Amino acid sequence: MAKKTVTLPIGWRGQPVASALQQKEQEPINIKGHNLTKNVYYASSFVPPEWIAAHGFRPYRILPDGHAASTEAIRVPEREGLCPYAADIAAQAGHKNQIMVFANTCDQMRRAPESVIQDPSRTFFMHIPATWNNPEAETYYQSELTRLGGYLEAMGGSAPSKENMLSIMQRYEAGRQELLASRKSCCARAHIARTSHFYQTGTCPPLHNALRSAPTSTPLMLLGSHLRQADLAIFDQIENAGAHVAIDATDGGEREWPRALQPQNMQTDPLHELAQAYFLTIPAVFRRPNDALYQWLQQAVETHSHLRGIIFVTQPWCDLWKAELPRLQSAISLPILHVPLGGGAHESRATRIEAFLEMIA
Amino acid sequence: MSTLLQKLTLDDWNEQYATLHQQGMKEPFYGGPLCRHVLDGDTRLEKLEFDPSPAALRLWNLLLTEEQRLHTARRQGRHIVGTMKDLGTIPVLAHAFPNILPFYPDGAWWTPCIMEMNDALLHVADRLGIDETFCPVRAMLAAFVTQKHFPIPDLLICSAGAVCDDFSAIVQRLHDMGHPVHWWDIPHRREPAPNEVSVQLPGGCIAPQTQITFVASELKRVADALSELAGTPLDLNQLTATIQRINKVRKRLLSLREKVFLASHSPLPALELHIAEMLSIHFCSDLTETEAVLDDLLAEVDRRINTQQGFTSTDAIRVFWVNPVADLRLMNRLENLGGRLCGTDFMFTHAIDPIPESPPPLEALAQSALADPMVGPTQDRARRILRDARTFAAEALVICRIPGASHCATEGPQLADTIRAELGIPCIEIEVPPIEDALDGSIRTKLEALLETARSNRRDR
Ligand code: SF4
Ligand code: SF4
Repeated sequence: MAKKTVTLPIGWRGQPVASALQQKEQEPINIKGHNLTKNVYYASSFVPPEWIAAHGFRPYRILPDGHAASTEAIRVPEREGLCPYAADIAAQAGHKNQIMVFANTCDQMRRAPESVIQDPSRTFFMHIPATWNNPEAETYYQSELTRLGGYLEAMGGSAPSKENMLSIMQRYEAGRQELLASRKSCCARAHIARTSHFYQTGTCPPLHNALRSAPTSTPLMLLGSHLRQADLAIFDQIENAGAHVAIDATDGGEREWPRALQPQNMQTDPLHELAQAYFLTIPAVFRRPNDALYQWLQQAVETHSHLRGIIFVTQPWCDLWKAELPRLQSAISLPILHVPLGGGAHESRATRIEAFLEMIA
Repeated sequence: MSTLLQKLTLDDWNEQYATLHQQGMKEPFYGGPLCRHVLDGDTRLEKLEFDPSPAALRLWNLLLTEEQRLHTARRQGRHIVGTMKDLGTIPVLAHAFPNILPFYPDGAWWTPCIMEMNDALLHVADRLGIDETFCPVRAMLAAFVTQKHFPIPDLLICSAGAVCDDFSAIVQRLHDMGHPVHWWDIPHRREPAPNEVSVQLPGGCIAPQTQITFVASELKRVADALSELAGTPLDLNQLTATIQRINKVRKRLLSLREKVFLASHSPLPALELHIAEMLSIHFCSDLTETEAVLDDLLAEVDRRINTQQGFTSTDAIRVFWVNPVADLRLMNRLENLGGRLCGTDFMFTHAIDPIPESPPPLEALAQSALADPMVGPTQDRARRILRDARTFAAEALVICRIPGASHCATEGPQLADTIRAELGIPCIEIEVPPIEDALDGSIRTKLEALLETARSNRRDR
């Protein structure tokens, strides 16, 4: 009897997200009849995909490993002190013939690509000011977007027309709203996979029936460092232990989405609206001061009163997040479990999550 | 004929001190025997070897009395400003306000070494969740908690953006612990695009004008915060005069380094040179005394060069040193093993290069800040090291890896590869903890191997 091939829906538990997405990497994004076929890779939440698409490129947000690691890219040599996420993202710059936009939101991200860049002309470094409560920083961020635009044009892109820009912004805004609306109707693993899919293809995949059931287990917030493909197993571990991630507040998760784009402002000055929505509202950990992160957390805890605890994840050598732990413990009323990522402590991690859930039950 | 000078132990210095006094040595107000600092807890001094000159005594005393000076200034009604991370820029601005005294709380980096952990600062930092995965600057956080060191500043000013994660994360904690911080952003220095207006910075790197303009606007915000504290607006003429005065200090240091690195016998020990370089960052809270200390050191070095005296023999291996040493004893050790310093990049070369004097003063300071070797690409730093290593004919390179430091994860191999490829000299990376005694053997072996390789290269040439 011939073997039956089963295609699992994107985000099905245990299925590697990147492998589900990889085949999409070459599919064009169609915006208003224009096929965007050439990828521009990026990883930071402060790089608006709208802006890349408006220049005629296909924005592709990297979810590292399973992708960069499987290629012949040059990698930063593994060394003590190196953040594995930053190393994986940097590996993307080790590919030839790929355009990559880096945002230096931490020292590790700023430095890791340096030693692997194959072709500096294909790598763009964007400075995201850490300060943000002053007009100078806002203006600088917008000027960095303008510089990025100039770079993309020099790399063969087209100057964005206002009409094109508006349509792209509306499309991404609608996609984000759709993802948020379906957030409660699917498991966390599926949500993260659908989000990745959206940030890599510009479209939201249909919500498969198999993923629709609303989780009834203990709701938790996942907070902390950037996640790699391999780290997504924590979503399964949490579910296996009888809980689920109700809010993904890790770097790159929904905490780092821009505020909703305002139609009126988009009409007036789309680039300015983009800059405001991204720069002024994302409560990132690297911001100085990063009080907005705590305001966001307080608000999330209040709004989602059913949350029972926080799983706090840190990549090895991620100083920015690790230093926040004692502050989180005193500022947030929910119990917090710190789970260091990386290493081979898979089983002990599962045990710790189970014990934590017992404690907060 | 040349004379090999001997360094002194702390005990030796007691005798030397008495002798110098009998000979009529005049000391400034903070003078006194070195051993008194051990009573204050600076026990590492007992393990160090020192330059025997009155000039070096004055240098050490200036360094080790800074906290007292700060407390005195506070009592006299001056505003104490903690300048943080930028190493060299904000103190220039602060010195333009007569009633403000800036200092770097970052200096607590060395406290675990100088006090041999007696004050348990690193344990306090551990308890605050800032463990050994962070660099030794975590001692600073603890010093704010114990309040047994420097006075708590009236204002903290810290650079953010293209800085290490260790410092940024720790100062954010300070901010949260009730020490409000005025942050200013320094962008990652990038190469200008073709046709982009750009400026050559002190030290030789190039930066786009847009970055300089942005940093100048950030410095204007800092100036406003300082004005508010001082109760007077920033006087740009005064700032210009301050820049000119500080440039004279920087030129003294450049001259001192050049003389020491190029002399046939090292006329100043590596340890004292390291300390002297640190003066350039904020003048140990006393600009006038820094000028006097450097003048004394220069005179002593000139005298020794003229009389062919030095602390190393002519065949000592000429070593370029990258990054400060968490344990100062390693500077002694280098010389005891047959090496000598011939070139340094202690992470603040921008605080030694003169500030441009023709642009408007805030713009000039912005150029100086952007010349920081740590805010730009590692390859820029490598180029500067290469240039200096050639000038000073370095035969080996040591990259001092700082435990936990975010930049040390990647910078070492890049620097070493560039220098090795261009100069063909041996390079090593060694991690130095605040007290290196436990690693004594392995660090020693690595240094010996480096010096031996350089020696054999020398024979082959
Ligand atoms: S996980 Fe932390 S150290 Fe790594 S790139 Fe993200 S913020 Fe930087
Ligand atoms: S030694 Fe390095 S990591 Fe530590 S504070 Fe200085 S620059 Fe930052």
